[in-house]
Amino acid sequence: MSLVAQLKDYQQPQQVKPLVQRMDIRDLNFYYGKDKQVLFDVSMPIYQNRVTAMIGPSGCGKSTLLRCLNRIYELYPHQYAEGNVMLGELSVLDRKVDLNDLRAKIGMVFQKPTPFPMSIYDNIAFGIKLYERLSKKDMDHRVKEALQQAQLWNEVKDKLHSEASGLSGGQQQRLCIARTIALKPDVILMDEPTSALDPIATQGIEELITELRKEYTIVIVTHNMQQAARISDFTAFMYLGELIEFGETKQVFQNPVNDRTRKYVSGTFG
Amino acid sequence: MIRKFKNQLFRAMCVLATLIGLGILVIILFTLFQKGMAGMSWSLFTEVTPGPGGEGGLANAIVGSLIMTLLGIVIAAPIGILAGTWLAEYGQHSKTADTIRFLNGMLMSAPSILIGLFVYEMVVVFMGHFSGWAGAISLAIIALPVIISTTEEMLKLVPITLREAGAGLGTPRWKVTVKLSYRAVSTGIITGILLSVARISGETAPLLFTALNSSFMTVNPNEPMANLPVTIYQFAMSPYDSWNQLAWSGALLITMAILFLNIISRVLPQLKKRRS
Repeated sequence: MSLVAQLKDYQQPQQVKPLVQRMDIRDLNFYYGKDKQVLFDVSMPIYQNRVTAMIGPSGCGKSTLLRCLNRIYELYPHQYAEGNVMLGELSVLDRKVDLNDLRAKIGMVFQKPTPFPMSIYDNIAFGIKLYERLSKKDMDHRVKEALQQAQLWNEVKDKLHSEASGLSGGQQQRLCIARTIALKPDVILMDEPTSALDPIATQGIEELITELRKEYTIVIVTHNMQQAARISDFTAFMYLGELIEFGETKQVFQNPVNDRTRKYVSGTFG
Repeated sequence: MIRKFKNQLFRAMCVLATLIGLGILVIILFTLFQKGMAGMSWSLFTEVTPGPGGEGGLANAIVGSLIMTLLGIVIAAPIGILAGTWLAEYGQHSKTADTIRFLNGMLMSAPSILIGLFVYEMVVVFMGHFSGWAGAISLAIIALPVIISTTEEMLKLVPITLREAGAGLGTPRWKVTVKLSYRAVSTGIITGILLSVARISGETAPLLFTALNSSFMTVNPNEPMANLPVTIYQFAMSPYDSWNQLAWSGALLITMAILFLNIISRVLPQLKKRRS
């Protein structure tokens, strides 16, 4: 490596990776049954190693949009999506796509912490075992790595084999994040991950998200605008099933193009 | 004044009704203990049922009852759990599922003697003789609807968030059920099975036409099998004092076993709660 290149590396710290598009949402429509359309022609990019926040008033479709990205809505009959969601070359909404592989690539963290009814260790190992056969030693390593990345390791390393339900809410949510990143996904979807947590636990999760951004692409739904402003790089404002504005978080909050966005972020409605 | 009187009258009637109900139970249990304990001895567990008027024990009936109850549950539990799973996870509110639920409810309240006669026609007549298998099958049919409905009810309690979290990792649907949902409600399902064991261990009518009875010790379910309920029934109706005494002791044994199972099924969920 030449001296100039080294110097360039040195000047550019790791977190400022160049802007690369990771996912592409094109003309997405979503229906709860034939007569009830809840998303209307939504198109937006998701950038790699960035946090994209989806904000908007209750019922605006932000969670629904998130749930399209890993097709988790298919657990419920009568719900369906039309349009295009691309993850690189992979067409997410294609019927032929293997759902389980897709969900390994696009992980999800839910609103309520949902530890599985088993030990802390097994909570992490459960997902890994679905895709890989590892020796005990390798598995131990992977579990440790995931817990470290989720900044939970120091708190649980002495009680890996006790029930996960014994952890606090914030710890449980970090366990769920660890469980998700243990699969080394491309994208992590988070559906209001802190809405069930107290302020201190919320702060912990927010710091974690900022840290995880270095390695993962994150899409987060939040009803908390301050949270979106604090942790996201891009913000999508949704209203009544439509994407009203998408842009860099700074721009959306300080200099919104759309009048409704301006009213929402300034707190006049919503 | 009148209002107060009405209130007290109603309360008094409630207390009276409770006392009558409990009183009868206490009298039954007291009599059972008094008369049953009189015959408690080691020979009860070591000797087989005696001939008319002779001395002996209930060893063969105890062994037979244990074997048939165990076989019955081994037959009923897997079928019941799978059927309950289908209702909760797959059938849900389809017409087929509703029909099955309705029929299951009927089976649950069907007179057990009918089930005995049904198995008599299907198994005993077919095999050409009474047998422990036939007894076990009729007990299984009685246990089945209880296991089906408790499994379904328990699985319905599994929060949707757990299923979503499972699916979110890319877990195949069957694995979500087997590895997550079953685990989350395992104590509930086990409790259901224990209660159905309690239910079938006292059944007499279905065994009368299927396992019949036997005065020999046997562990082979291909033969007619001794069992406690039918032995109690026959011995209690006999004019012989020694047989009457054995009937009392046998009744006490069954009651204690059922009491024990009920206590375990109460304690089990609490133990699990405390551990987590």
